[in-house]
Amino acid sequence: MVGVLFLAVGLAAVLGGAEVALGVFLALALGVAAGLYLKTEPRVREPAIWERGGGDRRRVLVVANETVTGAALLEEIIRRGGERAEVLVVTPALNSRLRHWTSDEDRSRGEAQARLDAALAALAARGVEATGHVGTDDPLQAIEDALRTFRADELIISTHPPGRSNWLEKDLLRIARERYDCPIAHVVVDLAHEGARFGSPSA
Amino acid sequence: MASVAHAPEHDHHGPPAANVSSRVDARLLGIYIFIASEVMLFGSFFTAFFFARIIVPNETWPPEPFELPVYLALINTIILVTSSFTMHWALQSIKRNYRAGLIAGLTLTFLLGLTFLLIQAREYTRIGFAPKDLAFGSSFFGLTGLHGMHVFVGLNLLLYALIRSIRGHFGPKAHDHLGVEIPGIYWHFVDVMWIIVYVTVYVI
Amino acid sequence: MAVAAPQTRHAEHEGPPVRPTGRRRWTAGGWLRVAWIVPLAFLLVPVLVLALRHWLSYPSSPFSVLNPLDDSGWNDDFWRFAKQDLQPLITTWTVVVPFAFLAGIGGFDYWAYWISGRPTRPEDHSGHGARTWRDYFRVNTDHKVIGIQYVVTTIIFFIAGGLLAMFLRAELAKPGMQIVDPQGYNGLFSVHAALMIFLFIIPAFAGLGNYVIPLMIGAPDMAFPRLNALSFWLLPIAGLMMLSSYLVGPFAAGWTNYVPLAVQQPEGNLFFQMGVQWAGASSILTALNFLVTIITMRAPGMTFWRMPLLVWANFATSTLVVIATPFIAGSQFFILFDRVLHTNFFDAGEGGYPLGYQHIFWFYSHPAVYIMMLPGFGIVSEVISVFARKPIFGYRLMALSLMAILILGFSVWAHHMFVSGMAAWLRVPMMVTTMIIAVPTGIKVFSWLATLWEGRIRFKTPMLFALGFVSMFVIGGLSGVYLGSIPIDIHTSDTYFVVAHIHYVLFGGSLFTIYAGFYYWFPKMTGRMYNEALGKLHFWLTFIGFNATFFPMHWIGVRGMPRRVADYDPQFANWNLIISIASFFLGASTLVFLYNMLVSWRSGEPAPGNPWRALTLEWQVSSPPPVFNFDEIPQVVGSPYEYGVRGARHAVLNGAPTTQGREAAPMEESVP
Repeated sequence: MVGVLFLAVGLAAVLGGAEVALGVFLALALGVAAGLYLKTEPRVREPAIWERGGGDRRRVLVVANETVTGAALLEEIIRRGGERAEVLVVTPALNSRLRHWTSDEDRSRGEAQARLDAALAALAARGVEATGHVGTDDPLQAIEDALRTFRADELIISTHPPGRSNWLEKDLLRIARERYDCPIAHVVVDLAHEGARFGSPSA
Repeated sequence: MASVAHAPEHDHHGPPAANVSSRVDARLLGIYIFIASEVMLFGSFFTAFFFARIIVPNETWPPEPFELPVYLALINTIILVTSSFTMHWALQSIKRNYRAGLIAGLTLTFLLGLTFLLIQAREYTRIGFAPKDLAFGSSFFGLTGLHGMHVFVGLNLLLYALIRSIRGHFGPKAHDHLGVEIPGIYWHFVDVMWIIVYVTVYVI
Repeated sequence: MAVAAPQTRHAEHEGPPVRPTGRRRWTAGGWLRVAWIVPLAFLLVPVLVLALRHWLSYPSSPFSVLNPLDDSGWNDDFWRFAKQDLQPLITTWTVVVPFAFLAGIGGFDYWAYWISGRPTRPEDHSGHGARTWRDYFRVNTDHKVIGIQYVVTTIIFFIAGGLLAMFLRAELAKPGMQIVDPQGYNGLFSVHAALMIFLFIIPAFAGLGNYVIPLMIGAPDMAFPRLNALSFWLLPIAGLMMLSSYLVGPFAAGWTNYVPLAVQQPEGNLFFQMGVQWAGASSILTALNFLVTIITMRAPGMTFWRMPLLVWANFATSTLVVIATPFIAGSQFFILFDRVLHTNFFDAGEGGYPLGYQHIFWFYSHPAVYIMMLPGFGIVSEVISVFARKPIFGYRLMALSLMAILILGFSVWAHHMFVSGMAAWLRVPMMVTTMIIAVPTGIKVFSWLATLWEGRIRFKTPMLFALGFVSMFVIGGLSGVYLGSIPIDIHTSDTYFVVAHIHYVLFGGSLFTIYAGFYYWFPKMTGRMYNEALGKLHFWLTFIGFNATFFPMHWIGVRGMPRRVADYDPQFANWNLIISIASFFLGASTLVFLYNMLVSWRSGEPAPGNPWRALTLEWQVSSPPPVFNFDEIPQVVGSPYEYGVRGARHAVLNGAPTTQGREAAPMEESVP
């Protein structure tokens, strides 16, 4: 290949002079460089493996914001967790883009905290022992933060119905399933149908 | 959390493994950043060249009666660019555990680079002007001299890599041939920089 | 190549390193080896240089004969001969002797071993950490040791630079020449500025960052510990080199070293040109280390948007250093070549372009002032948040404003050249960009004020300096806006108005933040509390002395007193006397600081791990920290500034969450 290059450039020099030869050479060099770059394989990201469970009680991580008080979600938690489950509810504090960049999160945190308190109370009324905290506004990051200290056996992610869910539009479920190798259940809560007290269709 | 006033003397183990928070290898990132600063150093020399060539009014460039050996420098350019390809071949070889290719590639790269440098040195003695001949001479020798020094450093790195290759210190896994990859990246920088120097000084 | 692969834990017990005995003491890296290598290099250089020059019948430098020292005592042929060689000798010395020193002290040992082709020795951490005072005087790979080495070294050069300032204020106290001659006076302010900039402010931030950043991001050390050690040792070399200029007559063309004066000045100028190269190398290598460390070694869960602002600030600063510093290297190289190799970069008669020096120089030196300020912004963000016990207002915009200053900082350099005779069309665009760069800076100031608003403020010494900084920097920033306006700059350029501006942003700005940082992290670094009463005294004496010294300079500058002059019109005599007396008072206030630091380090009250009840990671380990920082890398689960936010945690360390300290503050609803 090297010989061919020399030949090509030498020919161009003889025929056209130094500038032409340089141009031919640069073109060839760029071509070869581009070819080499395109041949390199893309890197595959391996899924993270989180330490699971340990202990006699099943651990369920619930991630929901506006839908956290939905009845469908409540039923799902009870069904999966049972009475002996340890449940952690995380409500990512949803925020508008402007408020995200101006770090104005007081209101969204407050609202998320209120919803969380209501959800925890509802779970307690049904005999499920659950704790919770308000998470950061990015749901994937909130899941990661929770998993660092809570070794979940499974995840339940609850969203608005498709078309009204910001999280589904951001492909949250697929990314979470790629990243975390524990079972992830998806619960759709249609608050409008349930007539819930809190929440509104997501922005 | 401990609230002790003195450092506990637990030297029974080394440091905990740091978390890797980026997909880019730290040492490769390091050489890229270093090259960025070297590019800026060349930038300051290009700036001086720009002042002498463009800002200061010149009737002709090169000024009478000096001339630049454009064709010889073109040959030199070809030699240096070819050495970049042999360097790439060397790196690809060790990634496929093909030691002979690594050694051959490094040797060729080194020889080509040495040829480049020797031709440059010879041209310096025969070019017909010195650094003190006008700002033209100063900026010419400044740019090409700076580049030549970088070639010299690059040749040194290649030599160390070559010696270690012959002794079998490298392997196909990613962290086993950084001693080839990093000199390779530096060498590619030297090559690309020469192309820019050549075009700026000799051609336009 | 440059760093060992991440270490797994070793089971063996590691004691202190075994010191070599017998003849090996002289060949092992350390001061004993320096003791013979450096004199050897020092003596070899003239032998080689003189032999080469006289064998090649090299023509002598035409510049030496212009030297005023050329009179009496130099008529002797031998001395004249020797003096003509002085310039190439000094140039070669300033290159070779530092390399000899670094080789002697062991800075290159690992790489020399690698070059030799032998299999690299696995890292045994024997060069890591400090058990006795001796460990601070050798090549040490522990970033905490290196940080302290930087801090102490920079304080020494700060004192040297300050004493030079005292001398020059003594000369300026009265009109007429009393103490020094004009060239000597020029030397005073030149060396003063060079030391303060290159040997104090820039490396002091580097040292504080070196100590704190790995701890703050949850890393066991920097990405390249050996390179880190080498970067430190480059610094005393640079400082001693600049001070060595006094051996032949100090460099005296200002720290800005404009041509053609710099090319015509006596040999002392070489010590500045070369000293800058060594300081620049130190700066660039440290910045490289910071960048790689911040990018690749953050704790799990610490995304960029969860980094403390000090880390963001050093990230921006390090980018500036890596991109901009090579330009000052280039500018000094060109002066060197013009002097020693007789090139014509700046000789207008031979096609050179003297104004080009200013463009190249200021293209670095303007970003340099941001290099000297951004880390300070980071420190102030940390201190204000902790001592007002409130989250930083607008954290993301604070981070983005740092990046905006970084980018815009490259577009304003020619505002230092409004009256230089440069192309007139360039002036207005530069004025516009200069005004624009005040915007992100303003965002930061308002953010700090908003952070203070309704905070529960504790007026400890670091907080006093941080608050003092905000007010003094606003004054300095305002005078900067004035100077950015071309008509005002034409009137006040090269007057004391500029000197006032400079010192408000560098002293009231950078130095106040450095003091804040020193006091804030003193307990962490030394394991002892400083004396709070003395700290407060230091602050007030400094604050009063500083304002008394520099505020009147605005006035006399506008009235027309030029800067960099050893003598001045008697109309300015009264103010100069007042300023000089105030400056002595200011200088004396530094003694309070030094006394506090020294005595507290020796016998201050032992400090708890988290005396300020801060959330960032460095406060979650003991004071001083364990030799490898953490037993286990922390896991970050939230922002570092969530003071008073219910349920918020920054990180989980060894299974326990990092909270705000054991004592519950009244504002918190619950301590998680």
